[in-house]
Amino acid sequence: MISADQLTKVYEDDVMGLDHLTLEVKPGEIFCMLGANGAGKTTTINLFLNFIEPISGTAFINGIDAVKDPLEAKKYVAYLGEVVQLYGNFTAMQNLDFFTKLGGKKDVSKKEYRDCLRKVGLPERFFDTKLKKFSKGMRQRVGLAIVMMKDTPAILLDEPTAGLDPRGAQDFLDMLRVLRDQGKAVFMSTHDIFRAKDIGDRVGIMKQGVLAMVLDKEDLEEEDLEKVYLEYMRGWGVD
Amino acid sequence: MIRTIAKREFLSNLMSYKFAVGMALCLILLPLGTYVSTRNYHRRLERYELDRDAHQRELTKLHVYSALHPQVDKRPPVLSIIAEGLEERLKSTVRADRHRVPCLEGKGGRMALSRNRYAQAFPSLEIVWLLAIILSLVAVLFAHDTVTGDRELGTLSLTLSNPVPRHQVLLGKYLGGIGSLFVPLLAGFLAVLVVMNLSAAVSLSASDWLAILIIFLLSLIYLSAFFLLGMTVSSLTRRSATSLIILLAVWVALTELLPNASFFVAKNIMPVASMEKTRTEKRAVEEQKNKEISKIWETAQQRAQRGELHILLNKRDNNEKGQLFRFISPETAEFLKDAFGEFETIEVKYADKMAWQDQSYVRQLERQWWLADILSAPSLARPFSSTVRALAGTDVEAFKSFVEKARQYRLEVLAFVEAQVTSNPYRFFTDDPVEEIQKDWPRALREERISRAELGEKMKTADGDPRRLLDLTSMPRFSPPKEGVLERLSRRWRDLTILLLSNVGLFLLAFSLFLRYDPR
Amino acid sequence: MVWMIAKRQIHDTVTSLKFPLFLILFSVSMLLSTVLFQFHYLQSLEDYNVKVAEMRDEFSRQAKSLVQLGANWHKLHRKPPKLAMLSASGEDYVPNTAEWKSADHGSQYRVGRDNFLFRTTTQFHWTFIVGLIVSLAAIIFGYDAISGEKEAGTLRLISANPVPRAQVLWGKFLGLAAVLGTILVVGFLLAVTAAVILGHIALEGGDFLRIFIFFAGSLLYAAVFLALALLVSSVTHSANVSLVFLLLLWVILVVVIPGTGDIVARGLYRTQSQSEVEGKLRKGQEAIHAEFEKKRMAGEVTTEEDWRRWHADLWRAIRASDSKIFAANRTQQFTQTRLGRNLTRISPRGLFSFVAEGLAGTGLGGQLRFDENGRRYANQFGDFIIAKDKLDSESLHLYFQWAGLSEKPVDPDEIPIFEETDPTLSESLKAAFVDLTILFLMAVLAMMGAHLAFLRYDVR
Repeated sequence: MISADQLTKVYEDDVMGLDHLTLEVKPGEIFCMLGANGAGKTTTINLFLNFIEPISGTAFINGIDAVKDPLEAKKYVAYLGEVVQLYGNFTAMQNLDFFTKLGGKKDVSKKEYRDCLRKVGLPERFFDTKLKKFSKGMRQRVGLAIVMMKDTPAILLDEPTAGLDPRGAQDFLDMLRVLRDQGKAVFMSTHDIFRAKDIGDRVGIMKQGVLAMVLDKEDLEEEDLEKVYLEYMRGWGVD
Repeated sequence: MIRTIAKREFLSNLMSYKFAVGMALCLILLPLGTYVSTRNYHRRLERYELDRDAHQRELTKLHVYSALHPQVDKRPPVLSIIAEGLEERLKSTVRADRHRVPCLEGKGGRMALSRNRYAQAFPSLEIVWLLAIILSLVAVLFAHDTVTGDRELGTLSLTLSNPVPRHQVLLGKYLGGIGSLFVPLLAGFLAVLVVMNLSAAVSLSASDWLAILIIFLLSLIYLSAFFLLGMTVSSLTRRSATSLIILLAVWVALTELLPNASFFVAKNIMPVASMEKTRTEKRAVEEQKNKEISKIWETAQQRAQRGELHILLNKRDNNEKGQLFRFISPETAEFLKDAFGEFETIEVKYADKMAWQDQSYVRQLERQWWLADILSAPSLARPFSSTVRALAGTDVEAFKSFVEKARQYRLEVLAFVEAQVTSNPYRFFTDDPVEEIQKDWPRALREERISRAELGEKMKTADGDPRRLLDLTSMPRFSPPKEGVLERLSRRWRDLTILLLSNVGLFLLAFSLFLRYDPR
Repeated sequence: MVWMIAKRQIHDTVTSLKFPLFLILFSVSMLLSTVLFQFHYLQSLEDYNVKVAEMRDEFSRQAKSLVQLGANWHKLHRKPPKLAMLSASGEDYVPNTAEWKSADHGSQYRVGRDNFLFRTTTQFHWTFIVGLIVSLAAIIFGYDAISGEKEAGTLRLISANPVPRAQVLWGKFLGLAAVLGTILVVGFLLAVTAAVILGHIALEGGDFLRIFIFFAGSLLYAAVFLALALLVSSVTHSANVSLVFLLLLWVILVVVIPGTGDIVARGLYRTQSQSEVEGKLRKGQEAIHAEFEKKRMAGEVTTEEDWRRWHADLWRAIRASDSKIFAANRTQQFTQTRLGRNLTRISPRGLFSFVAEGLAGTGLGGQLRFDENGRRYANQFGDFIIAKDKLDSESLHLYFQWAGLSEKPVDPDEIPIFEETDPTLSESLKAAFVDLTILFLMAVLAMMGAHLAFLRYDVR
């Protein structure tokens, strides 16, 4: 569903953004990308969304080349970033309505929005409150609602739990599992090892633009991810 | 899709503090300014009416055609409330003088008594200039964060993660922004119209309403140009604060510095000849004329000394130029008839000569003004205000067509006087009926057929005799030039083109920049 | 501690985009203005010299007969002010030519190379540039000094230290003032250097001192807007809101009030129309004519001398009546102008402009000075004519009338010549002092307001 083949990005100042990344996220799977700041996680997402152009390689979403036909590809992918503040002087409903319409959906009833907001656990009294009064956790719930309303087979999440309190983060991941069980392919970047282990069906470890290692469910159960991750990072550092 | 984005942009703007400030600027400053400017218009109108009545009254008190120098007044157009233009700079009273061809003149002449000559510290602000400043500022305020603001909120990447082409995003933002600017603009215009119409002096005709409609549309185009400028800068920067600061610097440079600098540059690059020089040249011509005229007077004097000419009363008629002779001998009448005929030919001949000088001077001024106009064209505020002034009928062209009409009127008056004088050749210089002249009162007095006292009595009654006044009912009336609103608009086609082209150019620029904008 | 905060503020501002942006905008404008004014002055001076030479020629021609000198109308020309580049506000309207004869002052008007097709006057002088750019820069530098730091959270950090709040505010004020001062210094130095290098205007010590005082006034003017920016920044909690509000204030203070003072005065105080004045003049003249005609008819005028006296008296009476009407008209116009100026004084830009006008000797002050000098000269000239006329026993001593002055020649070198002296330094200072004081009080008031507001500011 979400796949990349030899995807490479070098920035203007010769910084390696992404080095021949090849990966595939299947429907009904959550792929967690682990890595330090600047490892290339966000670059990957930006390439899938065509915010930047790759040097070489291809990125596919639902089999559509995201580089050549970004608009078509974007029909099948929903995205949520880390720092989404949304429109402060709009209510949750208005924000949801706006982005759902942008996603290409028409004639969505108010009830559907309400249901969706309820599903992401936003208290009813906040539905018509302006976003500038929301906490970060609440905003992220609205963000997830936007993703859910778009109802795409592929989902890209960029550090979605950063800055959330443990309870909020847990709720968020629970909802993500529901989405996975509905058969969606989820690509999520994070630097939280425990969450990655908790939710990821597969976990990739990335460093300086290189996807160094991919661990699947069995590997994760057998090995101590934290140890692997830290050792891996350290090992590379010594080189 | 565009509609969704436009709607959000519109609603979002409507709820922002910027909108409140825009509304405040439009709803406080514009009506206040209009109130002041309407009062001013009222004063100007009062003055115009006073002057016009005085000039008409003068015509009813004339005795001889040599005194006939009708003055015509330009009525201040009602839209001068919005654009004062050159109303206070150029003479609005023109002499349709037989001895001088009307020409465009400044108000600052030696005998301009109504013009306040004490130094003004600041040029007075017109409503249209206020509009130009406020609209551009509000447009820039609204537009500065169209792109950067969304980026800072993170909503830009969220938006672009959807299958929406970027040009649609930008177009939606543009339409939404313009839509939200439409509200204060409309409110401001309505406020201006209400305040204007509250005054009893103001009555708007259909063509005025059309002009106001066009001014409204022009404001929209002008607003849109600055909005697009804001979007362009916003697409060039990463932070809203940076974008706004750049825009403010550009704004002050465009609306204030450039127009003023370009005037000054034009004055230095293309200096006009000094007024003194022109005046000296004119004086030389005038002296020549006076020489020719005084030659005739000298003959008169010589003949008077020889006792051939007899005049009992010679005075000025109701104005400086009228020479009124009464109780003259028939020989004198014949002499004066010829003399005045010659004066008229001389005066008209020199009037044409001097008109040529006047016009060449005005042409110099126009060239300089034209240069300043070209130099300040990029400011957008200048093309906008010039066009509005043209629509209001207070620009140079309006005054020029008024003067042109006065020139035609002068020819009509000339023809009229000529026709009148052929029927009564003495009417040029005397209001004595022909039979009075034939009676030859000077001789009667010399031969003591009439006493001094009796004659004195006769003279006194002559002044009060309404039958001795000129009958000017058949004189052609002056009709001010009538120009259609569209005709006036078409005069500023260059400014219109600049406004429209800048819209197109800035849109393309903003568009191409936004296509490459990094939404992260 | 104040110094620490000021230093940080300076560093912060100087490294941001706004500093180079306004530095360039200001410097380029100042340079352009200076260069243009150099050529402008050169041309005005040339025109002036030609006119003065003509005036002298006329005198030596008329010196053949005292009556020619004494009873003729002459012209007086105003010397182009040297420091017009400081402030040329309204210079295009100010009369530069006055008509006069012995002990009499006639109409004043402007001749030169002005173009009446321009709606506004030449406005590209230093005061205009400082008035607009520096005030805008002050607002843009100061708007986020407090609300911006609050948004960034650094205000909490600062306030967590044992620093009195007043010191924080003053540190910011001084830092920003130093940056604005730098921009001003650079612009002024460039402009003055350009002026000295081009050298068309012969600047002397006193002129440099005036320019320096003008510079100090510019600093004060910048301080007013800086204090206003800090005041607004201390009552709002978002940098955006404070900027938008300040822009509103700026438009009103800098653009609207100066631009409307005169219009409001025109609406409030009525002056006479052309035909009204002309009507009054004609009425007065007719009455006098009638009165004199009566005298003549009554047979009082018999001899040649009587006739000349009668004529002289008639003209004198007419001139007196006209003068009265002209003077009344002028007084009305003057009242209107003064009202307009006083209305403009609400705005710091108005005050600043008047300071500059006073220093440069232009504007209303320059006009009144020219008027007064002209009157004094006309009287002095009259005294000269009287003294010369007394020497001639044949003269009727009918002063300043064609009919009654000596017709003997005069030595052209003895004729007093009009010399318009430049205003002395103390005169310039006196003209600028009041407005400078009000400007200072305005700055103090705004700073006190900012002080009070900041003391009560909620740093959370």
